[in-house]
Amino acid sequence: MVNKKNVSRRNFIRQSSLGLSASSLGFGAGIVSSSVVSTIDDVHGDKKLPREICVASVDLKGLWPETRRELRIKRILERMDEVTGMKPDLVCLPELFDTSWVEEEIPLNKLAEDEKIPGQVTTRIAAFARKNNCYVVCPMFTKKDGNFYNSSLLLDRAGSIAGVYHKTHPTETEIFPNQAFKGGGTVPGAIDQPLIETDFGKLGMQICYDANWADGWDNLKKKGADIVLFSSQFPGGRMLNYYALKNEYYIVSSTGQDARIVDISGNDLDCTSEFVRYAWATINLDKVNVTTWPTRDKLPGVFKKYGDRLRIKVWGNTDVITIESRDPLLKVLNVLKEFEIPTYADLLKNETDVQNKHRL
Amino acid sequence: MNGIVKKENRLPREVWVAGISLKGLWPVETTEKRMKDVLERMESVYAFEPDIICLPETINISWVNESKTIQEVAEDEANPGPITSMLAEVARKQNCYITCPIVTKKDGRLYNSSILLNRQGKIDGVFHKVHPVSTEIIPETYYKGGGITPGTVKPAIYKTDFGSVGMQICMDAEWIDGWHSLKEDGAEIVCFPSQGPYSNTLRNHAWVNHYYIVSATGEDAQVIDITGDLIATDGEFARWVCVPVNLEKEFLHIWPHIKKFDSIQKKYGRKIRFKIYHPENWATLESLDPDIKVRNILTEFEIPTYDEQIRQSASTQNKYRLKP
Repeated sequence: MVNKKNVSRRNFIRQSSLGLSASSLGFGAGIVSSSVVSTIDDVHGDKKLPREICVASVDLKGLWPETRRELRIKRILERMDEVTGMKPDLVCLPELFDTSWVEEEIPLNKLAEDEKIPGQVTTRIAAFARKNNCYVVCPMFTKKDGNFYNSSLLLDRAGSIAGVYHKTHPTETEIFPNQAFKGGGTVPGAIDQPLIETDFGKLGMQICYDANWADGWDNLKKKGADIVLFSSQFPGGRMLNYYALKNEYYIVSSTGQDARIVDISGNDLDCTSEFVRYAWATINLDKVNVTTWPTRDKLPGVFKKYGDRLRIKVWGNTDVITIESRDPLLKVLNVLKEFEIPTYADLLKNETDVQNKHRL
Repeated sequence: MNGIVKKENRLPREVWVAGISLKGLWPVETTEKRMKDVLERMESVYAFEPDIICLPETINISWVNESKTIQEVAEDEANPGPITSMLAEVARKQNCYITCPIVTKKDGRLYNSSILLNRQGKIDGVFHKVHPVSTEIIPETYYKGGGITPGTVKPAIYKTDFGSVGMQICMDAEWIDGWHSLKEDGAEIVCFPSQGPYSNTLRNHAWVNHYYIVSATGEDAQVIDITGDLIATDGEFARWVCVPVNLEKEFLHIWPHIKKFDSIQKKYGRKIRFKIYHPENWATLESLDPDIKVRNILTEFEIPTYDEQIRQSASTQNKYRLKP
């Protein structure tokens, strides 16, 4: 359906979604217009910044319960197709997307796929990754050395398996054989699992019940994750906002109820809604958190010198200011050094050192 | 604001908490004027018969232009000084606890502190800010005439006649150690005197540790639920909060127990209240009846608290996890 102004319903929704993303970014005073323009340019791939990428995520809402696994896979692929217009660098899928709330009962040993050689489902998702030149988080059962895992495979732009994450904290019913899953149980993944290197940054993953433990999230921070992909049945709500802020990484979630993109400041950048079951955002990995104090006194000077070459957002709901570069030639860390502004992490470290030195 | 509930009609573990904001009272020329303004603002909450009133950080000197040395303003922790005595009198008259945040001195050291005054106006305990900023510590930087010493990273909690109270001050919000320590020691309410508000940061500390937080800052005053929900906040027309919080309340994970919630509600009717937090898969269960203990219901229906469930799950996970 296309109206006289050539605005189809689908484009209207996309534009609405874009508007939501732009407004929720809450651009600093005086730079709103340029930020929106650059976001639109980024969608079409014309003016990407060196560390700017597009991330997208689809949820499962409205696709369950489902009678057959094959129908589920078909519908997920249809939903994934909706995000291809954004030319995403990364697409995230929900936990066990091919079997969650699917009535057809298939034993674990027939569902689980090899972690090195793509199986039937992985192959189809890999074809999407290849065709759309993007990474895809493909959460499913895997098998390795005779054990089953609730996993997330990361498929690269060529459709190859770039890495795998094993859910660290499965529920007891997932672990005990023949409770949640027919024909077996899953083994909890190691607490310490590696990050996966991509051509744009370092990715970590977490799955569902993992949200109730800080250990995995903290570990990913220590290893230097830029983005954490959260595939789940339950949404996670404020827990994800907390982990993003605490660990200063982006979180892309894909769940049975919603999908979200969470900023390093802990604020939502985009979220699925009744009429749009995908979330997406262009995110800049050349972006840091700094604390309101003592940075606030230096902001006028920074604004005066760099203007719209930086995007600065003072978040009223936390003690955080985010600073990102909008200029390929400008590195945020160089600006911070120039104005002697410590990053959030550096400030806490420096302050802790002084405190410990003077504590009895 | 909540309607007034006389003490005799309150639930056994219903605690009325108040926070006083400093917004609009700064800058000010003298400490005398500051304390006069604060005492006036405090009067708004007396009608609610609060059990505890939380005041903002360094109440007598924050954004006060009058220049005094830190030695002059610091009060002894054993013998109440002028500000402590002034607020102790209020505590006695209003029959409530008050957190009195001032600079204190002890054994030749200075601290950014929060004194807990009991209903008799006596000092029940003193909390020393764990993470003062470096400008507070290094002499002659923020304070004239000295600097303060950081408090222990394992602060004490205080047993009051309504429950266990802990305290944190301002920049402490940026570190998790003190907050975790208070949880481990069983704090049920944490009072947070501060200059900065730290809104979402406080809400995170509340749900992570499952205790109530009462804040009183230079910008606002808030009461935060054990789930991180905002229960009350001050605003343009009332720079204070005073609301009840129910300590007879437990934090739960809903799976798989949600299947039992209908049966429990059916049995106990209006005597209990469930609140479900759908995105997080949490719930709270509180008792609205003086004779019903939430713990007894959980035992009856074999439902663990959130913390018990997480411990049990972790134990199973560790048992089945492959050894590296």
